[in-house]
Amino acid sequence: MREDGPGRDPTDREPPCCIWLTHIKFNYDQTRFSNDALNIRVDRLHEVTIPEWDQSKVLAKDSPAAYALKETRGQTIYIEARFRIDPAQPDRTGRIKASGGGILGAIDPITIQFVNGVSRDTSHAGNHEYVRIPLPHRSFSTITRKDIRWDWFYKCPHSGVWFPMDSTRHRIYVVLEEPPAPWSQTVAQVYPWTTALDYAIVGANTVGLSDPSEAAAHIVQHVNGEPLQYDIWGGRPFYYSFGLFKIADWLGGFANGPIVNCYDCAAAVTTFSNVLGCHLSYQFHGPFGYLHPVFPIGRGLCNNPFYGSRPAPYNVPLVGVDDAGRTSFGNHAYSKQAGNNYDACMRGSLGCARALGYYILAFLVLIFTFGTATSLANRLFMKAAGWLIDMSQTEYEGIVLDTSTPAEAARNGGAPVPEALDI
Amino acid sequence: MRRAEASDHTNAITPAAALESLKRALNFDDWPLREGNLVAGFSPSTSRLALLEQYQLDHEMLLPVISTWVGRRYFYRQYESRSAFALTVIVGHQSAKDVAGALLLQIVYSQMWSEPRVEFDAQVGDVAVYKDADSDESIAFVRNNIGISLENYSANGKGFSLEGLALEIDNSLKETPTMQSLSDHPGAPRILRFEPQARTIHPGEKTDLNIEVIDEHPPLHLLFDAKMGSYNQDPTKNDLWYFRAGPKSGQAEVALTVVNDINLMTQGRCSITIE
Repeated sequence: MREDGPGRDPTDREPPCCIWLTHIKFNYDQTRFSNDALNIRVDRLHEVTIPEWDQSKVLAKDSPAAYALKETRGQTIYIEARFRIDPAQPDRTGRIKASGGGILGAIDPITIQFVNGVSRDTSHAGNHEYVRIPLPHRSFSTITRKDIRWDWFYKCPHSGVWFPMDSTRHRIYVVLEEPPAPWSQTVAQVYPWTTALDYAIVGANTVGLSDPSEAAAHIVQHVNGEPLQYDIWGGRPFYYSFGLFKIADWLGGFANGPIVNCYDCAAAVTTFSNVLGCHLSYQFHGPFGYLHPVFPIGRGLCNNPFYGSRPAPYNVPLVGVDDAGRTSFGNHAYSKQAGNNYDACMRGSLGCARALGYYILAFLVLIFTFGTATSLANRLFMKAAGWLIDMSQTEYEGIVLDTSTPAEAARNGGAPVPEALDI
Repeated sequence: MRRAEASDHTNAITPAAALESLKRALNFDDWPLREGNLVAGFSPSTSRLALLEQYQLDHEMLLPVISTWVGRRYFYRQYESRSAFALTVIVGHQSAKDVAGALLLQIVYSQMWSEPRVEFDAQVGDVAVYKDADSDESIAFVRNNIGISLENYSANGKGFSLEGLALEIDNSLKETPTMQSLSDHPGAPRILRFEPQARTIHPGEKTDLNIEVIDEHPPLHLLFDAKMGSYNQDPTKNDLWYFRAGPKSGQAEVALTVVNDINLMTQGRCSITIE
């Protein structure tokens, strides 16, 4: 920690005082998040300490903060910063400002009161050594992760010259709204993790999205594209146990191996969508039934999902349509948001007519909305490509479930039920 | 005809309901389990099983810790033959019935539809469960308070003799001395000290957690649970843990569960006043 003052530029005129920044808090009130940042952690075992920035933090990733779009909309966002001045006197004032700031914007000049060399602000109920500073130029409206930099300047009492103070770097996450379960703003261990935010924003390329359906669709795509393969031997989970998603193992390079089942995928889609502020719920659907030909995660076209454990002729992924000797899903899991289904465990094999229908619909949406409903059109294009996203139960089952014969219909009969999901 | 949409749950089966249904179907309450003969832990890595020597441990995964049993899944591979299998070990700390219930839970949490078959006088275990009545791709059994589940994951279609390994594990368990209680057993980890550095802290402050554990079967898994704050690992020292108080005043609690390599556990807790 450098408490003895900032380095000075020898080419500058010698300032009559020295003001420097010691700490910045983005999340200064852990009970609210409409005027400040959300409660976040790095991961299960590591917290984000507050103040998020002090003089030991050089890299942006070491000073993270996250904001919720919905809750901060129309509100002024503040940070709190602590300054020192030298020489210290019982009562002095100085001015500070900062340029840059990226999506948080520049900081307009404000007057700081100093008492015995330390900043003082009694306008708020927190630590009065911290000055509450508004961010009137912040500009975020979509999910994002941006590294920002503020270049700080100060002006001494009775001086007309701005002197450079310090540069600070921060990593700013923006999500749609307060992340719902399995995340929490009151249970500290499950404050949104920056490792999960990195996965959901950067990994799943949700940057720039503001529609929860489209964000969840991107998560589905990303999860399905992981180097994982469906468990063709028994359909057992490797990252989900009795309601618990082993997120650390998932994020830790798939520590439990490359085999997964639908519980794993549904838990991942729910968890990573919800960290963005989507509202997905984990759904257990049993009994489920026979499958139309689909593409299970990491596998080829298949209507006999457990061919790994079956003798011939059922030891192959694709058998005759309506062959009742093939294997079926005893149960299934996927996610729901606003009544619609999201499933990363497989992709549909739509056939030309249905795919064409989605394409035509997407183009019509674009034409009749003059290109403004791009999110809906994008989702329709994704559906045309077989992604099981944003589908009504009937639409989803029409693509996935085969109930065309009495034997197949007999194996069906369940309905989705929401199950609690923890991490 | 299509069913109604998601709001219609009349035909829905939850995992909990599926477990109860399976227990009824298999007459679970009548299973001849041996209570009061407890084996002090089990791990394939310490049991010198000859059949396992041809395989490499690919990864292992601790199942969520339940108060009465510890479960861990080990995944073994033989790269040359592309054969692989998963071995799940469940160590009951009190009763065989808990373990048998946990094994059935493993069956419920699988997507493959099957009708399990139960045998009481099989070659292995006090009770053996074949997940699929017509297949030997998966075998589970309970011997005293130890549950074992073996599942074939071979890519070559032939795989590995699960029955042979099950028999070897069962023989090893049969030769292991049993006892009536596992409390204070020397094979279990013992928490000598688990207390906060400071008993009282302010909201937002932190205090180190002083932890001293002795154990004969490392490595140890330390699992925490905290209320009114968070448990944290020091970023610079992996063996240093601390509690960070939340924003509200009150009585915080931190629970610690320690699991060792033979799947025995012990639990401790401490309180911290936040004011």
